[in-house]
Amino acid sequence: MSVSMESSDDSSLSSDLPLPNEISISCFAFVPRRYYPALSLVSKPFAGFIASPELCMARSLLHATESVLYVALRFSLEETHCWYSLNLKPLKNESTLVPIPSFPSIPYWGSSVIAIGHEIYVFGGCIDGELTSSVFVVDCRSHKCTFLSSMRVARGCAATGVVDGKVYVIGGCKARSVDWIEMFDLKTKKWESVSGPCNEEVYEKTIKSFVMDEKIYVMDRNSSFVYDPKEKSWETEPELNRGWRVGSCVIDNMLYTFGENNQIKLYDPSTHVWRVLKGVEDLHEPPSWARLANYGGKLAVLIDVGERMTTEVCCTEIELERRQGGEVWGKILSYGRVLAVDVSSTIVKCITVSI
Amino acid sequence: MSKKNIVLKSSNGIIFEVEEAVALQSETIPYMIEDDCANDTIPLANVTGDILALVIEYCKKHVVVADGDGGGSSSSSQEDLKNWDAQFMNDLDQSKIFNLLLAADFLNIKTLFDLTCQFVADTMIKGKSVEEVRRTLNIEKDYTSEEEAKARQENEWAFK
Repeated sequence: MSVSMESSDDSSLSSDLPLPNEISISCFAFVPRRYYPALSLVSKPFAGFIASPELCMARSLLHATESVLYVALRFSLEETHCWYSLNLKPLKNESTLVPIPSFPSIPYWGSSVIAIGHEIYVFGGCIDGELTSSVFVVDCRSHKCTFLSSMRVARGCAATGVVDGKVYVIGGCKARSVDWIEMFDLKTKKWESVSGPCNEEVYEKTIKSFVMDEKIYVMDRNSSFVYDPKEKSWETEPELNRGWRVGSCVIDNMLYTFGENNQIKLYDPSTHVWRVLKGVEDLHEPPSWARLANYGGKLAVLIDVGERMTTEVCCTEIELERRQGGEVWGKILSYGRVLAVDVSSTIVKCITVSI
Repeated sequence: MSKKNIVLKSSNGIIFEVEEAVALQSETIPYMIEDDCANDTIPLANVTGDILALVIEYCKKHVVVADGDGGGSSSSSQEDLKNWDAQFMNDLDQSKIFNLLLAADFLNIKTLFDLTCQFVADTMIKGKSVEEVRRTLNIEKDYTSEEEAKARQENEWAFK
């Protein structure tokens, strides 16, 4: 690489910066994502930088990635999911759900979908009435899809959790065997079966699973369990079972859930205690399930407030503060409508990726 | 321990004598010393004197903290340093900033490079409209009206 040190000549305009491409890209990496649409319009070279994989790499290297919510909606009478990402508008303090038409299609139901860094992993699910063992990963920087080696057994509604660089996939299959739990090593990209207890009490289909304190919490329609992959131990977690709802999320090793009386509650697995999130008692009454997500350490609450036959997703962003004595207080940072469509729908996924 | 000095020579022949610790914030200079490409003077063919003076000013300011007692610098000195960095950048015009970026890249001074990139991002791009970015960075529009309309439509949500 030769480096030119000639200063820019202000009289002659150029559609590019007077810098080598990789230096321009380094500067762009420090710019928040919300300004990228405007930067793309400045000139064609700028648009090229914004679309380049090098910019994604630079953001990762600089730890300048941002948390972005990915939301999948299923519209009534549709068999496929529509994926969106939540984007801040460049010059207004407003967010909006922007469709991602190029997002690969995922099985209609039953896949276990988790985000790891800038990637979304999809395990199993049901295709044309059959469970699948296939696994693929979507790179959220390009929305390109790569198939990984399949699980040993086909699964639907399996529990998943990432502990220590390994994805554990639990249940969702009839096989009460050595393959009831499989483990995918994110480094070697290989599957291994996990010996240990195969819990007869866990329903075939789990509803939700989370990781807190390096343990995997598994909820089915009746009970909640905690699996410790290091100790290979299973226990029931009755207190957790009493309060959790669909659409919960984990922030800072605590489970947040939109519970009774229109309150947000949080569960601390170390004390087995539920508390009410203070300071945010006046949230919208959810006509359907609220979806909660860890939005870069803040809590995002997505609620469809649409009347019949419409979808109107509102998003509340809440800053969390843990005070002495274990109380957690929330402060609403923003509230606004992020999507309006003239068809009714269900929010089926709401996960956070770093890009 | 006696302090060793290093002599740097800019592309236009200006000589700077600095303490070794100051110069060694550049990850490129040690290689030049290793290569023995100069036993007393290191020629920096890519960096002009005015820019090299800025680089040295930055490195001198930052060497104190890096070299501080026991390596642990107090938070107030970190705060002071941040303010100093902001002032340092603010005093520069755009052409100097771009040349400083090139010099920091060539000399491989990561903190200065990142500081300068961040400054470009914050003051020349963030929060600006398309036209403002063009004006600030002196960029000529190379889109035809049709192309621009199409590109704008692709990210329609951002401009509503």
